[in-house]
Amino acid sequence: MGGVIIVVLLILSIFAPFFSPHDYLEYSPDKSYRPPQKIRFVDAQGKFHWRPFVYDMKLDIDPMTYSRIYVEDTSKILSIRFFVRGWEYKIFGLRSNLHFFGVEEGSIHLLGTDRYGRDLLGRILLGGRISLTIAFFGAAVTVILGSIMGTVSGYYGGIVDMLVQRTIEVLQSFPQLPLWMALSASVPRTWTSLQVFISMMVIFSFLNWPTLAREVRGKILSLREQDFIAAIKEMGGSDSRVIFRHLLPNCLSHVIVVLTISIPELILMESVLSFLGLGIQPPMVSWGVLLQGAQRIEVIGLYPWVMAPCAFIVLAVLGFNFLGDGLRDAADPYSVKKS
Amino acid sequence: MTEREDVLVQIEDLRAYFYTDDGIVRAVDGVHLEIKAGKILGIIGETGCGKTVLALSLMRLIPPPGRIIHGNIFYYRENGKKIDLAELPPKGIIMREIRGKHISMIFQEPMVSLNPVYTIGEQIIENIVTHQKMAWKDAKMLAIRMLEQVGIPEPAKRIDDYPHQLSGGMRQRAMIAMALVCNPKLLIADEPTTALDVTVQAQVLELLKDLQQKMGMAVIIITHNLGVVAEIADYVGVMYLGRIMEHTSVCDLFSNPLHPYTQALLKSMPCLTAQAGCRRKLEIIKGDIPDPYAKIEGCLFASRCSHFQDACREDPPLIEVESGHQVRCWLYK
Amino acid sequence: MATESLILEVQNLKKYFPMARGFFRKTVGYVKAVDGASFFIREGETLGLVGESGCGKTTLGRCILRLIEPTEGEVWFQRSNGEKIELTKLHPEALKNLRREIRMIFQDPYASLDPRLTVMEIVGEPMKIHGMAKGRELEDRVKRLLEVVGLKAQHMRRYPYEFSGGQRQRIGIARALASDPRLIIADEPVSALDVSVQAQVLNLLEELQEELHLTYLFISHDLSVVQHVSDRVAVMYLGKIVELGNATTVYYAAPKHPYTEALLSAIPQADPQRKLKRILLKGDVPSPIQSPPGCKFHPRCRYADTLCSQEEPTLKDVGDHHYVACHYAEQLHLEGVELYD
Repeated sequence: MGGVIIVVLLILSIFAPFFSPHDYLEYSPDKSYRPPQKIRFVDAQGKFHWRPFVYDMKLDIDPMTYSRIYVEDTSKILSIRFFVRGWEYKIFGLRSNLHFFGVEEGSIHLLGTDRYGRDLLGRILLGGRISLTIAFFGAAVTVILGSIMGTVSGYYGGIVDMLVQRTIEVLQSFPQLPLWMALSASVPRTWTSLQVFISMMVIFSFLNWPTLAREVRGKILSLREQDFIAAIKEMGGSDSRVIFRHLLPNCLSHVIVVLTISIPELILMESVLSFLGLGIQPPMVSWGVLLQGAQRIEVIGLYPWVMAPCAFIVLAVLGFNFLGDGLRDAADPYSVKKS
Repeated sequence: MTEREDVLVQIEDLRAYFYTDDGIVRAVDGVHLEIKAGKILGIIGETGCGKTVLALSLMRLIPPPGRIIHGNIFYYRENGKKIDLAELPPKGIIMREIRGKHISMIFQEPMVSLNPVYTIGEQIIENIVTHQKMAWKDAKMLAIRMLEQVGIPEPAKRIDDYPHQLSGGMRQRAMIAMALVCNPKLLIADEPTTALDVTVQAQVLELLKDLQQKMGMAVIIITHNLGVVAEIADYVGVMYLGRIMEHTSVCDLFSNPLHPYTQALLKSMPCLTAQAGCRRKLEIIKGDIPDPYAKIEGCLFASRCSHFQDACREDPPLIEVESGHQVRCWLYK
Repeated sequence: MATESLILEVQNLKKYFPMARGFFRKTVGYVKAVDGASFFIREGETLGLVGESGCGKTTLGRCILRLIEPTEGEVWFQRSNGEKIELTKLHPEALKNLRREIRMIFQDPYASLDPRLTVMEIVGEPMKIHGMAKGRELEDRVKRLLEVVGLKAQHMRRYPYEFSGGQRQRIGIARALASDPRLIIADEPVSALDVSVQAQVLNLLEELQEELHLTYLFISHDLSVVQHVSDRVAVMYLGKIVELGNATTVYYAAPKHPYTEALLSAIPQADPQRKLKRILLKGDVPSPIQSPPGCKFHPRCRYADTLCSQEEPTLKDVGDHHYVACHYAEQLHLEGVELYD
């Protein structure tokens, strides 16, 4: 279940251009803050169409408030077609203009548009690339760093343990949010958005490993005293054998638990920082950056669809949590049913 | 009524099953037992034979997903009236009164069953105050007297100790004091000496025997150690997979064991009566205790029994071989 | 002593665990788990090591194998070629080599097998570590070992949790046998098992000893089990061996140490007709942090006098290789277990 959500999100993000009918970089001021179009099967005359369609939108002025509103133009039916040709993009170095769906003329924005009239769906999918990459990279570094530090600290004890634990305590005793903000703020403004992106990943993983290291250390400490570890030493097994063949595999379920907590945490962390304007910098897009557009309460009130990235964040976070539960059960040798 | 006079608790066809996700565990599966007032009953059995669940069902303390699904536990009160404990709501007022005041229990590991954040005095006094109308001060006096009776040196000082400050043997003594402070009619001791060393075990057994004679209560002692049973019990029930396989006086059990399981159990135990010097091979019971989830047709011991015959495919009843000696085996039909 | 072949000789072995307190982990005292234990094991025999919990018998067993580094003392092991090696100061590489010959069986059959490995991997591990076999050959040897300990060869792909306690202990024994050891230290190998299964494992250990000419150091708190398996017995009290001798002599004919006498009388007898004269010891075993001066047993001993509280007795031979650490060993007439036919 969790796995399905994650896989769908990953595919959508990786092939973001393929799934977005419009170029998400294209500015069109005339489409600013256009609401989502509804997918319909039945038209205004009550006639049923086999092919789903949307109505085109046209700009109007509200007669009471004189503000700009969009109304559905029921005279223009835009049938949704699959695998249509549209704008050209590059994916893995391949040029293509094939899209999963689209309309032949006019435009389709299933999640509406942002202030500059850019297609929100496309931008969310694109933002997912950055957000998920940061989360995965951060998690990978967390696992590697956390397991190594935790194992070394727990297994050898003594002065090494002392040093690692004090480092962790220092790192964890900083108030979290100001620390992220300080680190992010120290990234030079002149850097390109790619450099900022990489430095963000490093910062996130640097701040995230202590939790896992603690967890692994605790587990190792208890496993170390178990007889089966004594048994390996008794038969003459080396330290590396004890650690890699016996201790680490037995920590696996713990690592997975921490991992599945930390990936969503990283996604949220990134969103928070970018939302505050400290993380990823435009023109790079992430879910947090997109939410920046929803910082003002009037904007949310008038154009609620700009909150759509939130839904994706929630979906991703829940997905990872479900996935974690499943993986942990699979990694636990005791939960396997007797046959 | 006359022959019932010395019976304190009568258990009839008691069944307590655990409904787990993996299947039904028939922990207690049709136990008939009479607990006589003022006598010590020993229940022996191996791990998973249901002896602890049997004890817990008397207290109505079976943890979920387990519950009593069948049978009666008649408890004879002083006024001659009998009540069926199996029918009572486990958290009801009568059951709460019976627990602690009429029937109390001590456990294998005293450290787990004593609350580590209260002193032993507080725990004993609380027990007194709950069941008897008594002022805290009087209760404390009583608690000190009780601690003295179970052989704790300097009870007035020890009463303010926390459980972790006492040694294993002392903790078990404190547990016994707590269990006996309300003068129960029945004391259930679940593996009371298993966690203790031999020398301390001997002390505790001696103490239990002493107190039983002084206070005259009935005792059920649950153990896997045949030696303990031989030391202390008056009569014995041998339990296997939730059933009593043999039920007799302790002398009979050791001199004239009838059930093949009992016989094998006795022979498989290394004991000091063996001729010195010549090492005799221990006789073994083949195989392992069957899977607790499996429903066994016929005699429960059949798969491991060396006297297996066709009749064993059907479940044998409890057969009274001689007066007071019952066996669940077709050999004695 | 020199004429016999002694496979293991332990001299004055000590293990003090430091107790640290406070932020700077200052050492405030020592737990004297093993406090000058000396004994020897002859090749091919079973030496039973009995004692109550906390007397240091497990620590002693692990110190011999250097799973715990001993604080002081010597452990001499005789290799199959007759060469004698001192273990406590041996280089780790040389020690690894010796670990083929001295193996251990653990008490808890649940904690001593890695839950993530199959039986094949568990039993094959010592052979892999010592480079004794690999591939098909390894598999064949594991199969043979499983059959030797009474398990089925087709069980080798299963995980430990699929087995019962007795079967797991058999896996542990197979693992110990895998490197063709000569000495096996069995630390409470049957205490976690039920009576009927305990008998199976004890019989198996005995059969293996005959077939493979093994020597056992059998550590247990259960006096009846020790009596059943042992040729000789060592009784331990507060980190020291207080009596060492022939099992029959110690148990029946003439125990020479008052502690042994009390210990024996405390065993519950599986015979309701025989009520023993019971010597009830006063109090509990003292803590190994502050052991009493003089003879460590004197506060609980009914024969103790002033000499006992001042001077610590040494382990001395009272004849026929029967060693006792008691000032009055030769004066006291103590009773063992009475023999009945």
